[in-house]
Amino acid sequence: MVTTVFSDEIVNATELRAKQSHWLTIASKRPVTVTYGSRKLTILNREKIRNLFIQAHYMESFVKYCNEVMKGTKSNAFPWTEYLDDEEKKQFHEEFISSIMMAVVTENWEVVETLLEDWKATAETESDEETMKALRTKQASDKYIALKE
Amino acid sequence: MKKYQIKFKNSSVEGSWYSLVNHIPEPMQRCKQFLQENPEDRLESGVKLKKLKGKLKGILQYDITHKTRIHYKVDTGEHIVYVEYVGYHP
Repeated sequence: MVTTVFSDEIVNATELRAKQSHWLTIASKRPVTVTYGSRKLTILNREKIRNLFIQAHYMESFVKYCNEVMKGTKSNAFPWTEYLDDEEKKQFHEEFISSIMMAVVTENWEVVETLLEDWKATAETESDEETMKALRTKQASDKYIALKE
Repeated sequence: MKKYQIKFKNSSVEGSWYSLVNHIPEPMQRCKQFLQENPEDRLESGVKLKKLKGKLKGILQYDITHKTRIHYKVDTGEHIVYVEYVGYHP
């Protein structure tokens, strides 16, 4: 079952040399594996493999985090979540799942990266009492002081 | 393009701003220009802008340097940036 997920064209080094342009054109669309003695080397579109690496990175974090949430243990995947309250942790979890699902479909992983950066900045801010005290202090808008140009 | 007016929450925040202007003039000039022109634009900020979430929703964070940051709110209707905090990263 799993082996059918990856399909490639297989050529030997001699065939590749004889029809380089042909095989490289194919490789830009789907993987071409070159056999060289007992070795097998695959040529892939760079954007595709880059996307797969990014996907693997975030999916690993995602699975680790879900596992931590299920077990109710402190997060190693995203240690800064300890500074979020329960409601925020729930919101982060839901948004993280949505962003992963969207990124899998659109292949735009910046959505996930941005979400994580925003939540991390939120947690870091909440961890700092001085900043939180300043942010909690109310001020009437007409009392703010204009920048001197 | 109409520029945003920058306003500080109190004299303490104002003082912290001018102190940083003296210590790190170039990053502060970039920060000021960003706040006046595109205070909510992630692309224009590079990776310096974060939009806080949860109970801090509505507050934006701009990283002036890796050690310093500001927190602010934006009134898009009035074209005003309200600077809430200027300080160091925890």
